[in-house]
Amino acid sequence: RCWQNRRARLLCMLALTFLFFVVEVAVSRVTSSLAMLSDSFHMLSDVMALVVALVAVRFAQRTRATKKNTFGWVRAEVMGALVNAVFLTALCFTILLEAIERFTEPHEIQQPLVVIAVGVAGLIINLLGLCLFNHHGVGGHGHAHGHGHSHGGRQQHPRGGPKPEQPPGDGEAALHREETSTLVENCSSSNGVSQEKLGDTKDNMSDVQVNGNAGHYPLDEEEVEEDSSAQLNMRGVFLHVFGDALGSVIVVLNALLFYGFWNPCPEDGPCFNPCVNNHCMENATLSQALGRANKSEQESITVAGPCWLLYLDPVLCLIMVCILLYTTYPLLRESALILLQTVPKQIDVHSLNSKLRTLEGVEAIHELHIWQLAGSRIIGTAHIKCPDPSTYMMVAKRIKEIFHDEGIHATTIQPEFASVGSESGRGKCELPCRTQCALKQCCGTREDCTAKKTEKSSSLSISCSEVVIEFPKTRRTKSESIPSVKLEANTDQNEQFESSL
Amino acid sequence: MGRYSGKTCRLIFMLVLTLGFFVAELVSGYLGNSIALVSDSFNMLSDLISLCVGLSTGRIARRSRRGPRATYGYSRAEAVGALSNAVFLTALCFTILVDSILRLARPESIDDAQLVLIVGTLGLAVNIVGLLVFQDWGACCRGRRPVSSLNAGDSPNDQKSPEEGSEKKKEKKSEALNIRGVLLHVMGDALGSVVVVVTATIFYLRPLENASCNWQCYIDPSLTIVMVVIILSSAFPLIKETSTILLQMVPKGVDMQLLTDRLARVPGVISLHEVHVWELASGKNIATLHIKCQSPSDYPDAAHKIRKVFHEAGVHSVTIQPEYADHKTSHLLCSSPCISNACDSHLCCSQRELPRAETNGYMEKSESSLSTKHKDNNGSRKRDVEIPMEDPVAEESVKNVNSCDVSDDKSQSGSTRF
Repeated sequence: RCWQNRRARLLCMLALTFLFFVVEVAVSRVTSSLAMLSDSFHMLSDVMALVVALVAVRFAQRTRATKKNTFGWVRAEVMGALVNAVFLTALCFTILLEAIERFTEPHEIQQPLVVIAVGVAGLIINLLGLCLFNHHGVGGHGHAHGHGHSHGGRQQHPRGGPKPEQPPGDGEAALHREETSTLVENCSSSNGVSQEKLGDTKDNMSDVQVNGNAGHYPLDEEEVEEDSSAQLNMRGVFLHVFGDALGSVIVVLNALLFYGFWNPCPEDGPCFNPCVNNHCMENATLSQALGRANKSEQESITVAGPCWLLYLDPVLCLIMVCILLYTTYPLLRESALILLQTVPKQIDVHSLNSKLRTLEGVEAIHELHIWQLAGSRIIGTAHIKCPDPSTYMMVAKRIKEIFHDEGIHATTIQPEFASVGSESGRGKCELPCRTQCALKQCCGTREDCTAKKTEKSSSLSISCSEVVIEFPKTRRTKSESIPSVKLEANTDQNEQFESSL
Repeated sequence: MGRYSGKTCRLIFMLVLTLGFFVAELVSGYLGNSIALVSDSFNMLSDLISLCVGLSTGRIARRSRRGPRATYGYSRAEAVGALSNAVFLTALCFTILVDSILRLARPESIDDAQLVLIVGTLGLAVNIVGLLVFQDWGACCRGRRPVSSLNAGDSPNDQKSPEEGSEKKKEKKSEALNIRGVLLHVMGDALGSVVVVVTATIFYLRPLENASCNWQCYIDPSLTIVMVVIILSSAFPLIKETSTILLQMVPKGVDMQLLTDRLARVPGVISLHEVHVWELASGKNIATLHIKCQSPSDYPDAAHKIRKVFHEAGVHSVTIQPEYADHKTSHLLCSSPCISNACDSHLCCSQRELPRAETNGYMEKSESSLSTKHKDNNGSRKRDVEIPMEDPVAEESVKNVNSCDVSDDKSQSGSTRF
């Protein structure tokens, strides 16, 4: 339901903005005002941002895995947010350039009344847009999806108990609703959370479930809350509209002041415009000449109005650019961090690692990777070293539980069983790919590790059951065989962590 | 290979050159009071920005230190940087387009054709130098060659050699993702300089006496529009490529259908699900999957063979989660999704939707799927209800049609200028 909401809002704003753009172009043709025409193109940039966001929303609805994308397209919204943020930054850059140009060559506003009228209309539309998208706000406080309790709060989706919002339909609508519900389920319901049956899975995890989920439904989490990737997307749009609103404010302000204070040069009669400087000395001499001229003569020469007015526009533009950049930067950072596959902020990999290590039956952990797909979908993979398969079976549930508590629900745990005589190979992967693939492994290649621990390679190569290593011919091969090697023997605490990776 | 690979050398060189030219143009523009020069110098500034972005992301990616904040390191920074550069360029093209349309509406002539011509030629020279620098002849700086030849010597299989060739090419092509973003900017700037030079030449050779504009005044905007079209059409493939990486799409060389077929045929594997293949950064493919085995003893062999299949497909980091089949569970569903089904919304792919799963030997087909799903939805969590899978082929065709439609939209938005 929420994505429908988003789409509706985006479409509405898109229609409004495009309409206004057309109107502005028409008005500028009628009044032949160039400034208005160039202003209308700001609206057009808004339209483009909205289109990008719409495309992202449509893409992100498909959460199903496809042949082209095994994760579905949920990441589209994050990418949409990044694209919008970069686009906005580029626009700020061009506005900055224009403002600097205006400093050197200021020009006056023609027909300030028309400009005021259209500016006010644009401002109204932008304010409307701000209200539409304000729910998502600039602060972008996504309720954290990591903690046990907060994600417990998200379990407000129609499962278990009867939910009035989701009568079982049939056919398309039902499928749609299915998709919706799995995408943003917490939007729909806010009741019956506590009596929700948490499902009985086939295995005896029910006690674990109660531990993990039940009882953690703080009331403030029950509000309608959107997936944080959708929030990012909407924030991008919001910032665009905000920038446009600021622009309209500047236009209106400028035109008002112009209308009020500017003393334009009349068509006829001698006029001296001291503000348009062509840096020639003639100007200075002219003003001096004027100063020495007769009083009577002076009165007949009109001097164009206060010059500082001409510089108001660029100054305001500069301020606007600063504000915009300041507000865009967090969005840029957040979406970039997600796209870079970093660990989400709320998860502490160190503590997770230590929790996993302290489990009975877990000898070592490596290749621990946590990343955020989009929104609350956090994915983890790990290789766990156990002495034998039965130990692993016992400990598997606990492992999943630990991940679950951190908010990581999609995990792939690979058990590895220590082969005989591999005491030295505690930390290394039993099942890497072949040696020459080291460069292509996700964490295989480290050129700066070539110097380290080359002496270990031979001993490890023997104990490794899977890896076939040609005996190193040159330095290069050593580096390839190293990915398992370098996971060893780092004394530093920080590096200790890296070794388990 | 050392700290300074060919890429960084070139980027730094270009940075210095562009910076110098930018300063020179700016100063001479103010001294000579030519707005054209000043605006052209700002084009150089945008070039500078893109170079900075390219350089910094290249360094970040190379640093690539895995740590508690980024378990994969920052090797993706290049893709993000390339995307940023491409989007930045698109935005600049948009504003240039707007400017040229305004010029078409109100044509102006160039005042000082000679000065513009000179500066334009200089700018063109700088840009051509940049284009040349970023071409692929920094072979001396690139240390990749010895590696690939060693790869060839190392491998026991013959089958490796065609793979090697394609791998080398892949390395070269996608290694330059970072540089391609910068290259686009430089190319855009070069084209701009070409347009400036052409227009200035025309005005120089046939100066306009009075202020009225003839056809000459329309050359600049029209050429600019052509230039914008060219730039955008070359930016678009870059955007597509970076999206492939950033959206976690299946990398180009991997055929999922074939791969899953082969995997399902591995002995010991009853079924597999949650198969994910994605590209971390250029050439580094990662896969995770869950397999169902009959018993724990099947697993090691199966794992080995699975890795081989993946290796041949070009995926070298694989994480396999074994699950042991019991009769209560459907073969297609994950035995251990998370500890409860309530987490479904947080899974990367919801378990309640039709899973992309395959069973060994045959694929389950069923017509009516949705009613069963709703039964599931309403609370009966009996997992022994087989949630049937729709015909995957039909599924695929539907999905392909859908994605085609939407990708059309995407291309539209990429090229929307007006």
